[in-house]
Amino acid sequence: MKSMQWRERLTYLAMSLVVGWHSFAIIVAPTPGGSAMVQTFRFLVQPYLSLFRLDNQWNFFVPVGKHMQFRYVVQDAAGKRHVFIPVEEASESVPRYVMWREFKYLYEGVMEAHEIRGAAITALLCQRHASLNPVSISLLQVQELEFSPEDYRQGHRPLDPEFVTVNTLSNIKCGDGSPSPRRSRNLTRKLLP
Amino acid sequence: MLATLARAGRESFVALGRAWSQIWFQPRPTTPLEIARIGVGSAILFHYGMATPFLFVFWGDTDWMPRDVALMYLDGPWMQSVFFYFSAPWQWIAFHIFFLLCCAAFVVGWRTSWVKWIVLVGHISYDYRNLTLSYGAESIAACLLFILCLAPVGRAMSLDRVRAVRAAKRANLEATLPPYTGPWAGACTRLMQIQMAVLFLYSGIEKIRGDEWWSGDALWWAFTTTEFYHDPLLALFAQQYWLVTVGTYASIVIEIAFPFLIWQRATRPYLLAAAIFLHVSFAVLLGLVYFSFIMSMGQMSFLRPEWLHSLGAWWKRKIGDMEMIYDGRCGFCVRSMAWLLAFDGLGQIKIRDFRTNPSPVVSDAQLEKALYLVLPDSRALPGFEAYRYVVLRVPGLWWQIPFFYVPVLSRLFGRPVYNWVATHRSWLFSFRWGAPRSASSG
Repeated sequence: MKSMQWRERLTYLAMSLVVGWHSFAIIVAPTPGGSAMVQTFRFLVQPYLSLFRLDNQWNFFVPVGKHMQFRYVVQDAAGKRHVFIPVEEASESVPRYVMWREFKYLYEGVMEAHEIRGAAITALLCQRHASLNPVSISLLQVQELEFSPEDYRQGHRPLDPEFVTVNTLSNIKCGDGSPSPRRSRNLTRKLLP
Repeated sequence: MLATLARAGRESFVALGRAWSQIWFQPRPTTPLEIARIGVGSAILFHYGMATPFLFVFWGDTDWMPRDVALMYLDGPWMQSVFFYFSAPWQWIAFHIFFLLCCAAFVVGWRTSWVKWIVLVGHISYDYRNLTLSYGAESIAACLLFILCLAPVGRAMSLDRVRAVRAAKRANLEATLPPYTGPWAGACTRLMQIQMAVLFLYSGIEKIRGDEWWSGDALWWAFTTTEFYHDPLLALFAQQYWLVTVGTYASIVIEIAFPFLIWQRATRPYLLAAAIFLHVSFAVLLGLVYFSFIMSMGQMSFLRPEWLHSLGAWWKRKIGDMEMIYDGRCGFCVRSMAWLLAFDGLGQIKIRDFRTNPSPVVSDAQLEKALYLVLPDSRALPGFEAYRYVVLRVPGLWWQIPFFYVPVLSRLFGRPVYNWVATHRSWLFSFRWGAPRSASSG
């Protein structure tokens, strides 16, 4: 009887510790880490937050900001430039349509770390567009600018040339011995004027 | 004096303990958590199912995100992914299939106590393998999944529950298994509620710190980006800009009010409705379907058990009584009834063994040939038609609707199949469970 009581108390204590600890961790996780106290708390809970993927800021749409679009230009052996806008490709399947946002973020990841990833991504794209006999590939970042209701009323759209800036992130030559493309993809292709 | 202080201290400690118990450990059913389990599980299953053709593009070592690049996005040894330990493509494929099967098992609540952990580990693994894909949906899914792993889910609205009820009913069809309630279910429900409240609070606070939200222009900014571009809405906003301001401030008001007013009995329905409305708007207007659906499932933790109980009672009243008359001497019939009744979580179906309790509506001769369902207006539906009627009206059997309601085909094949099974029920019973019992000749 007494051992039952003790077991109940221990269970209650364990349950209390779990809920107390978890609540503490999820409250600390998004707290700005400016103060020494928060940093101490964070040091305590960080392994727990990282291991279970609980480390979040919950700052959705902050800032909404202006977004960017990933494009790349394939220059072929004849000197022709082919512009590709991956996020505007027609979805060739339902899964591709559903995973549109994931692809967008995948491309944004490249733009954010183009110094590190540029060469590898260029090599990948050279393989993918081997049929064009690519000589070099430029990775572009199209940065959106401010767009007001007045602009809209005048018939402009946010991606019109005057509302974006185009930055060339890298221009890397394709390797000589690139293997044949692993799969052909129905990419939207635009020829530069 | 010292004794008085000691007594006051003890009383305060006891009161504190009582308050702690009331906050955390009120015995509660798992139903709100089960709704979250089914919703979050379905969303994850759909999401990763759709990602199947891009398994190597997103998470492979030879495509857009090689392992060495993926590792650069991680911060410390605690961010782990099973994909970091794979080397051959078949391992990716095998894990992906296994993970999807576990997601499906998690949704239907089959072996929930362990498949939930695989779903969590899998979800975290995909996420950490390529953090560039990660956004709010993945984060909140991981948080909710972790709480569901801690919680005793699978005790209601699940195949685990069906199996437990069926086991009880196989011994006695009249047996009932009381719904599960427990203090740990209450604690985990509270954890999920706190998670959602914290999320809303920080989301709201972060918004009002920024100029875009403070100035009331955030909605315009959002809809003009390529990610959320919505031409018809922009056309409307460009003409009626006050809608942007109202929408922006309404979003902030809901997010700030939610963590404070969701706890009160009187305000909870309104805040819950507002939060769900907000996320339905995100889904429809911003195309954030996956994110919004998972958020809404997290909000299900705020459903009061009595609301769900009232909903169930309303459904039972609306459908009315249903009495199934079966052959109690037929082992196959009894086992089939045990299966059927195990899915009837609301207890809508009453049963009658015509061998011991003859029906005033259907004759024994008719019942020798088929099972019958008697409705409140004394209509009696035989065999296949009985099942067809019940499947549409018992929520636990809704998963069978596609089989019973395919136009023409269901009846074309269903009736002969039922009649064949009914005619051969004794043989089927002996085939499946050994020699027929003497009483199972009906």
